[in-house]
Amino acid sequence: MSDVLLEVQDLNVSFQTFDGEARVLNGVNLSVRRGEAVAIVGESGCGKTVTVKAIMGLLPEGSSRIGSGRIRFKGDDLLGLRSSDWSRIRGHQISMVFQDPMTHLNPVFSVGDQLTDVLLWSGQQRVGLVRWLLGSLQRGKRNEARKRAAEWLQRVRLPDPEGALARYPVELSGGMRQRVLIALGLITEPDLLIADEPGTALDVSIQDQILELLEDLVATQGTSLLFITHNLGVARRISQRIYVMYAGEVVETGSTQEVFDHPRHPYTQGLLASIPKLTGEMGEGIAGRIPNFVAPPPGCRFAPRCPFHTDQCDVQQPPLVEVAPGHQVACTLYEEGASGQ
Amino acid sequence: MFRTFLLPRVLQMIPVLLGLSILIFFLSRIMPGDPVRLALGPEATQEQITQYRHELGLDLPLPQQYSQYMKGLLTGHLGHSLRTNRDVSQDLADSFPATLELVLAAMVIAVGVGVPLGVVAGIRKDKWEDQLTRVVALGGIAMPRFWLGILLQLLFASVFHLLPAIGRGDIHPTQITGLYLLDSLLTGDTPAFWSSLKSILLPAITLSLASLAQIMRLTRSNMIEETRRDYILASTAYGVPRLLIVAKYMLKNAFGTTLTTIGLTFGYLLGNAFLVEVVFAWPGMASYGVEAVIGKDFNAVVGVTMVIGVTFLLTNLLVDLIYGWLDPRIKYS
Amino acid sequence: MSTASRTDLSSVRNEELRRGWTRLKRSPLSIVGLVIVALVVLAAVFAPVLAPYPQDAGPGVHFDRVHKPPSLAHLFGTDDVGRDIFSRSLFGARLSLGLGMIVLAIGMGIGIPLGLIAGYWGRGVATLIMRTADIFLAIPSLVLALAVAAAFKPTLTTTMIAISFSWWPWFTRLVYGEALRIKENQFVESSRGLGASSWRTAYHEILPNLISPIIVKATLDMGFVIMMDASLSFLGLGAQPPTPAWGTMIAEGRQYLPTIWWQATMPGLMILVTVMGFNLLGDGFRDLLDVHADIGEG
Repeated sequence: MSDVLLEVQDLNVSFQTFDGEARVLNGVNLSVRRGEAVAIVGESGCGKTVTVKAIMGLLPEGSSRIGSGRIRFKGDDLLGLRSSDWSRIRGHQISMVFQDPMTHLNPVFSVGDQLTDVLLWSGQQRVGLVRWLLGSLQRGKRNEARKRAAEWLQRVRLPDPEGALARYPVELSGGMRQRVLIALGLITEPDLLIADEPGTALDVSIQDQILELLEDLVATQGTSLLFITHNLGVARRISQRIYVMYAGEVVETGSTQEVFDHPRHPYTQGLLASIPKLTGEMGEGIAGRIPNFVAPPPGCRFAPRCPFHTDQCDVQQPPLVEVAPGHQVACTLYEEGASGQ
Repeated sequence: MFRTFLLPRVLQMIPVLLGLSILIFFLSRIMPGDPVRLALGPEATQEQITQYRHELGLDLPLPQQYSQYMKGLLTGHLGHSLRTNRDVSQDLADSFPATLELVLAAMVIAVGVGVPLGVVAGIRKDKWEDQLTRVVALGGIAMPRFWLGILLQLLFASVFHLLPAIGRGDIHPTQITGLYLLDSLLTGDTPAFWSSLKSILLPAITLSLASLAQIMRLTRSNMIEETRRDYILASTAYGVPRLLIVAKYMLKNAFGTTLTTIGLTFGYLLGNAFLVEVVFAWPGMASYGVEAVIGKDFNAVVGVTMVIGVTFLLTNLLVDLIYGWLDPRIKYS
Repeated sequence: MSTASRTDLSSVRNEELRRGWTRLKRSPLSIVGLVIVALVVLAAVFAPVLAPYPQDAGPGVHFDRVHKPPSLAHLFGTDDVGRDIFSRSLFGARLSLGLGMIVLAIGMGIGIPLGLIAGYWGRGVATLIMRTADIFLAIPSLVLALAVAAAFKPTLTTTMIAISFSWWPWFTRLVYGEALRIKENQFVESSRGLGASSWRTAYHEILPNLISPIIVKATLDMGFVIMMDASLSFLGLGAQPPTPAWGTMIAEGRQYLPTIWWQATMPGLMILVTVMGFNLLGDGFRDLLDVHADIGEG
């Protein structure tokens, strides 16, 4: 399968907390192919954001630790990358659209400044102070970059793109800021775009417009998309394949159609059952809360909340097994010898 | 901008200055002993003293004295100095530039050295650079200014004979602004420039050290806070190089917060100039003020205090303006 | 999580203290600060016992041992009239700490009630109090203290009054700011809803929340007050010779520089170490009590 763009294998990440080591990711596997749109769904705190931060090398130094695992992107092992090599990857290869438009834009620089800086400097391995100063003197290059920045603002359908370049984030509405964030993520024309619940901070109608825009752009650019959300409706709409995460583990994966039509894992079933028809927001349908990451349940992490809980569940973590072509589930119910549901 | 931002701030200053003048004026009039007797010397007869008191208006009731004083103030007169026998405003006009030059030089050192060191300490958190600046900061804040001045004099003037221990240099440039360094640059007077530079170095370093330490620690914690910001993380994700993020994005944000304390730093430097000028025999307004306090020269005390109050408030106003320009959020909130 | 009972709150509080203690233990500098402060306090309390030459605190003259350099007999050397500088420095600690405590007591005694009143009762009162505080803050503390010192005879009491005079507004500001913040807390809102009077609320809800920032500020300020006292006495506006105040001793010793280097440097070293000790301890308390308030600086 040479068309696999990103492959995450057995990723383990832990954080140092006051109570001890919290194992936040426990053997996560996932992959994204070229041109594919993949969604990761799960409740907040299930490790979605940690997964993508690990992919981008953005986990906080010191407090977090990557225990084991591999992240391969186009043949590069991202975990072995030195910091100077990251400049090759971030931006032009993988970029990101962030969730909260209020905090992810730099408040003291104009929109144009932020966009042109990404255009002019992304991917530059080393920036000497002299080169930086010379660079800022090159009028032609800057004007060129501003033009492209304006084009991108047009593409994300920001009214008055030329004027918006000179504006500061405070002068823009939440929806407009989110559009700027999308432009920032796509302006480098990355092969893989990671989107971390864009628009969730905004009201539903704007959120809808943002999704439509993102779908559109990804389709026309041929960019692969890794989309993170806690909203099943959104995931269904935007993705071809889906990963369901629970407490730092992938519990079910398959084509979006298949997983929605025939959910196998009790957690996925619970999630789908609890969706209010209209909003697609995840309800509180499943009793109990996400377990403690410092001392997680010994076997299946979902066991304490699972309606089909058996003694077998507490013995060991069930592996992902294939139940239908491309459809995998990590649950003792589907292990060899166990009868189907 | 002017009506919503500048005007209210200027108007706010008026009651503060008025209150300050009342406070200091009345404090100065309850001085013990008789300043007039002190000024005229032991030979003076009771008649001479009464005569002089009358000339100075000291026999009037206090509120009336105050209104006289304020009338003088509006016409630029700060009253008669018992010690120099001149109008206090003249004395201050002569000595203020020296203090201003010293404070500005100290400010340049404090910001010019403190901010870069703070940036280094912030991005190299818990590494040796950070530990070193921590030690410097500890010493800088806890060391008495006058004592540090004495030690520096001892070392650089008495032991190594590198720099003059006291005074403002022997070669003075033609007066334009009264700031010798600036004047000598403007007139191209190289000997005067070197002489002024050499003599201002020790007092300015002495004066700046504590503020340098504070600015350094503040910049450090601001830089550390900045590294945790979402927008810095986002810039990293877009592939913006680290150096650009530090030198442009983080520094501008961190410096904005540092800037807000510069008004306070200015006041702090102005206050400590009183100690440093005395140690280095710097002919500025602060050493004039100390002599006035010791010599019970009440008009001079009031004059010095008022000038410092006005300077301090104006600096804060200026800082507000710069901050508003640096951080667009201020204008819109 | 939805309903926080009393026990929940106290266990949260204990948890905070436990974490604070972990932080404190990890910072050896705070421990150093604690040790320094403890030593200075001991020196101050037991100065008459600890000083090898307690009679030297006064105006005595010993022509047989004038300007002896530091040695085992005289740790800090002797001064121009042969007095033991170490003994005098110990008595100096007594003066400095005593003065610091009185100044802070006066500063807090005026500043805290005014801040509470301004923060809790109404707009007119708040404006009046805070504008008055602004007047005092419109000039640097040292300059204000100088102006006050000018109005009286230079003595230890004068220094005390002068510094207190310039110190109270900082406490008013701290308390006012914190009181406003706490007032917006729902938790105070709810007790108000139950009909608690303003004064009760101030006393039971706001004051306890203010204890941490006040402890931190008072510890840090102790160092700054000692520094300012030394500054005033160095300028000749505080305690007069032969009182063994550190600032006065430096001023006296200055004229014998550079040959008799110890007479001016040793008392300075005492100031440096003491102020550093209080700063370190204050920072340690800040971590321990997790104070984020704007403490300000005199």
